[in-house]
Amino acid sequence: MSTEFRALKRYAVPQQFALLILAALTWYPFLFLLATSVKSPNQFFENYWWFTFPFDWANYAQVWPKVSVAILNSAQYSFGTLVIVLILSLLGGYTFGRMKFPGKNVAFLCVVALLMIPGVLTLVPLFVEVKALKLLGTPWALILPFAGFEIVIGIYIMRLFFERLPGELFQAARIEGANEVQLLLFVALPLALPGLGTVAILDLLFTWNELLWPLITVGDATKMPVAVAALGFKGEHQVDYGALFAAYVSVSIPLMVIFVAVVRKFIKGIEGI
Amino acid sequence: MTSVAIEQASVSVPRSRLRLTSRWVPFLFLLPVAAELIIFRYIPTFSAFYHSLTNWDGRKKDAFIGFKNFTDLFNDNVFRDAFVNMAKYTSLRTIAVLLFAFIAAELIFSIRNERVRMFWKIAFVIPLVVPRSVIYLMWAFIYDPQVGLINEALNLIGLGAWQQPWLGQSSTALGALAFIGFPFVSSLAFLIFVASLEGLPRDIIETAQLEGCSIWKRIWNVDLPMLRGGIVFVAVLLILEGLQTTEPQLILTRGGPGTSTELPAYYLYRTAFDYGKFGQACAVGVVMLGVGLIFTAISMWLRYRSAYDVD
Repeated sequence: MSTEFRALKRYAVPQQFALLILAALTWYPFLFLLATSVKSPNQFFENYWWFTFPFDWANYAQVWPKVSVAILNSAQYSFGTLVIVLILSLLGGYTFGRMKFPGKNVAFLCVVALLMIPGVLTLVPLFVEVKALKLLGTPWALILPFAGFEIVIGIYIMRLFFERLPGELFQAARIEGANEVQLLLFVALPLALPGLGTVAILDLLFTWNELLWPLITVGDATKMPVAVAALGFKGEHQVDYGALFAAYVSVSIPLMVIFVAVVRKFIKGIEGI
Repeated sequence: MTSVAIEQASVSVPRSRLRLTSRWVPFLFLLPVAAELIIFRYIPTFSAFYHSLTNWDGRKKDAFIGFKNFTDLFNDNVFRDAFVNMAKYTSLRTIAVLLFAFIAAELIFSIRNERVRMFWKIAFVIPLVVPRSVIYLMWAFIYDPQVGLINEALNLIGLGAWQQPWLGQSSTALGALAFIGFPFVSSLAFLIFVASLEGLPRDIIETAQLEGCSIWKRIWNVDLPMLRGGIVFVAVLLILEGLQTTEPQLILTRGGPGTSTELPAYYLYRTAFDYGKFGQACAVGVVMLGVGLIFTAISMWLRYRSAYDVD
């Protein structure tokens, strides 16, 4: 250990300092958002740059009725998408990662080739198709197309994951007489949980962020997910920055809470790709 | 073939049934995947190619008009501006993100203690989950001419004369959009770089130190060549993301002032949903796919043309 990093160690202090500056630049706008969200209009003009005391929670109470609707909508869309994405990624990843069958490579190529097809290319045809399938106005108009985009990377990640598992685990179960479905449910699924976790986080990031597709397909303002609803707040609260930022902070919190709980595993998962 | 199969079946029924079912299992498992991808990815893709050659509007029956949509596009000044803007925006942003993500990754890699490294990684990764539209709205405030953070900060340090309506004038608007998210460390690019650096073979780093190689030389001669795979991968992702950008236009600028922040993906959106020209919009999509494929091909060539790679 000593020689490898001896030279590097000398730089540790300036490096930590540089990281601190980058972190401050990254975090300050978010802290500003947070600080302003607990200010009354007067406090905003008293102290622009930092937190003022006492905190004024009125902004949150004011925006909560609309924010909670948006969060529930997003939760519904995300949950639906997540279930489909996890099931299909598991099926696809397991089949490509652990089974042999004719045409496997071509089939896999047909899946990953979709990574190259940009969403904007299919924006219009997909809209017309979803309309023709009479899905508009239902959550499926978001869930099924979202899943179509996310399972591509999901299957890719799960295939890598299954290929790296030792084959003996599966052989042992096969010798014991397990059929393919039992193998999938009782051997593959429990082993796949860490991989599925990474897929789930990437999936949630995608679903919560997507703006254009719900903007086009969701007609009803009370059915909008958070990404679109956030735009509406701006029109409503114009220069009432406290209320506006309270809305922004509120819609950011649910995913933040989940993410903080799993961030270490997520980082490890990304390192495995 | 069938007679052989029947003969075998009569000899040992359970075994052949097992073989028969297990042969179909992979296809059975892939069936839902195939259904989802064909319905929601492949059909729209082929539909886009076909309809790019028609005057489709989503209502009347469409007629085949050859390459008229494409010639119309390149005769449209707005689209040409959008295309030039895309080149500027995407290259500026890709370079900036790669640079800052790489610098931050090297800074973290140089820290010896694994726990401290994890702390910094988490500190930079957490903001990744703030919804992107909130990020853009936050930057709308940062650029605000009256109360925005940048103009207030300029005022504070006595440079009030430098205050600008950053998004409101064509000279700064596109640059301001490219700058959104500064310092760009909170990104997947950063995570991938840190992971690749930590995956470098230790003996190479060690040898570099023992040979008296300076940090800068090591970064230039060891880290960068060894990380080329990761860098190219991230660059492709960033370019594809840049090509498809619509959010800053939808949220902040609507493509203006003038055409200064117009980008092709936003142009596509307006062509379809403001003007009802679905066929023309599909043509824009096909052009964008072409641009994406060209960039990916170049990146792949950069990736594989030399033998530095270890993975």
